[in-house]
Amino acid sequence: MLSQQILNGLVSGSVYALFSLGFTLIFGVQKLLNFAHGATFMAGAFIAYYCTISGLPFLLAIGFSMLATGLIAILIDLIAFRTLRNRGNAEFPALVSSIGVDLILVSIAQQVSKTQVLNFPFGTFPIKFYDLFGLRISLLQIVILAVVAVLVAALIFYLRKTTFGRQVRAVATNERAAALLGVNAQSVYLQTFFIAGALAGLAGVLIGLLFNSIQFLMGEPYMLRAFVVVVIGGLGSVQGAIVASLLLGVTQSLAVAYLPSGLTDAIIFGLLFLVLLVRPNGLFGDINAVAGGTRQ
Amino acid sequence: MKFKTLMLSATSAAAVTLAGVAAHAEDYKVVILQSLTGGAAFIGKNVADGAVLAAEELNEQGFFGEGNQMVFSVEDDATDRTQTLSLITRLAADEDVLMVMGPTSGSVAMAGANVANEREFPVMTTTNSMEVVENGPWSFIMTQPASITMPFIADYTAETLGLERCAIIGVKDNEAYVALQRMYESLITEAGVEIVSQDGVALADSDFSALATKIATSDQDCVFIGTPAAQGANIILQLKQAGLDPSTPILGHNAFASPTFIEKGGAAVEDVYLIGAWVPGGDDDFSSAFAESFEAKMGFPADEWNAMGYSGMQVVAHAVRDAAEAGNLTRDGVRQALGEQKDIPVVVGTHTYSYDEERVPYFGMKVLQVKDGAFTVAPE
Repeated sequence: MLSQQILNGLVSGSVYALFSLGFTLIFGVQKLLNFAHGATFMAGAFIAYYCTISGLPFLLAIGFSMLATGLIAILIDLIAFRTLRNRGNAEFPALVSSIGVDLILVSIAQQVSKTQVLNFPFGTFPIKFYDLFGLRISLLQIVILAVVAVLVAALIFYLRKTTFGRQVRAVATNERAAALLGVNAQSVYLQTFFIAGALAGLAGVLIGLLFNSIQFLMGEPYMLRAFVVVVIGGLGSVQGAIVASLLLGVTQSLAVAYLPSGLTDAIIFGLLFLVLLVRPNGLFGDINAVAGGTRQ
Repeated sequence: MKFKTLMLSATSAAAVTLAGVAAHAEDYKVVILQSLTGGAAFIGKNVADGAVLAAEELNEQGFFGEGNQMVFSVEDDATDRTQTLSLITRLAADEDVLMVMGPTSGSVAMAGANVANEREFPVMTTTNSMEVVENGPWSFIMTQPASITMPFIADYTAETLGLERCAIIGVKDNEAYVALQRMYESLITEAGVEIVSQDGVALADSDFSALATKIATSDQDCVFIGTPAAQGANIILQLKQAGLDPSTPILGHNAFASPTFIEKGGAAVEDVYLIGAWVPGGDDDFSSAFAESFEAKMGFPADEWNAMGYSGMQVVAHAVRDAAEAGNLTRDGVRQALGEQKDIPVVVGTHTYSYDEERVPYFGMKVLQVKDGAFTVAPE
């Protein structure tokens, strides 16, 4: 059972990674906590669900959902963050503003779904199981692991090896200096939000598919997990978010499997405190953060 | 001149008659206060939908007598104690409001009960917690406590099916569900069934892969799941996908008695045992008519909570009418009438609803089984 639980944890952790990457990316660039990220994740699942039941092929539904949640995230930036950011000292007002956007999106989803739990129709994705080295793994789990690995690699490449990535790091470190060097900070923010939203949307679709459940509150537990991930991984660190997500997924699986019920959250937050005691900036907080240090 | 005089007389007579009718017509103001948002919305919203339908139908049928009607409004406790306290305090200050149907469950219902008893304001909470009843004479519960419902499925587990080792999966963040689970555990333990594992999930959880693997690789001869219908169906799907022996009986309580359970679970929930106060689609003329009218109005079939809301409103309406007929249309009159309700026709359980001397509701249960994608009465 141990290896099976580790596999379960890695699959859950890989989706946490997809979710947390966007969250940590926005924090890394803007030093703002986007509480509406969970609602964006939920919106991704809802949009793909309604596209699928409307007859759109599932792959197109996923693509449309990612595009839509990317645009939703841009809208969130324009409505909830941009004005506050321009005024300076935006951390707390932006926090409240993003909570407001979250509540609005959740309320809309509740009205649309009539408070019902939705699920993708049976057969949306082939249900196939394989026995590999004593492990029971589904085709969907394999696809999720592969998709997340590819996307994470692409994101890291994009951030480290492209002009956009350099602009992101420049704005994250010092927006004014970046602007003097000709970097359009507003464009960087919009692109960052789009990427974060699209990744959250995809995570929502994958979770909805993997666990057969789409509902208006589905973002809340993932937001809580995302906080743990970004703190353990190091605020703003992409690599840290990935490692922490996988660590969190596996820890959660093993806690459910081997410890008394109800202790899972205590274990997860205990792990958080432990990491903070040993590494106050998180596992990768001071060496790989997107921001690369304190923002000026 | 004669014509004018005649017209004036006729007009005056008509005005006097209308005034007379108006003087006798009464509005009975009741507020449906449920969790329309927040964690208990899956219960509260459904209860409210059923209650609203019942109130509309009763008004249309002239249940309260010619010209009289129930004036109802729907408020949201948001599954939040502070909001509940604020709303009930405000409603209690409105002398026109006779009673509140709600709040929904857990600590929210207890908070509501506290204020209701302080302000001498009748509330019928959706919860099945006896603590609400014990809080004072002004707070009632609408659903049967676990001590009434759970023996049906516990007896079926231990005696009818003769099972010996059960794994339990419950909800950890909702008091009503926890109470049901605890009662089931206590009853089957007394009957000699061993509990091999106990696990709790949160209402918003959907990732049960680790839990499913744990149970699928453990040694038990039954699994009891005490969660809402959609979540329960999802857990069963993940249990089956994790390789749970298909012959292992799976049991649940009345929350599973919802079309959602079969719709979400598909073939995976075939053969699952449950108890139900509500047989989806109805099982007599009254309940079948409710099922039909609810689906026509809402566009989806009624579930256990919709049926409970509809039934609860029937009881409230009878209490209000009885108080009016007794010439005691006050909050105290409604409270007394509510506690004295016996054999009120409802769409759940054995189709009649009564409060006993301790204000504990009873309307019965059935053990059901999913067969060929439908709920059927389980074999004895």
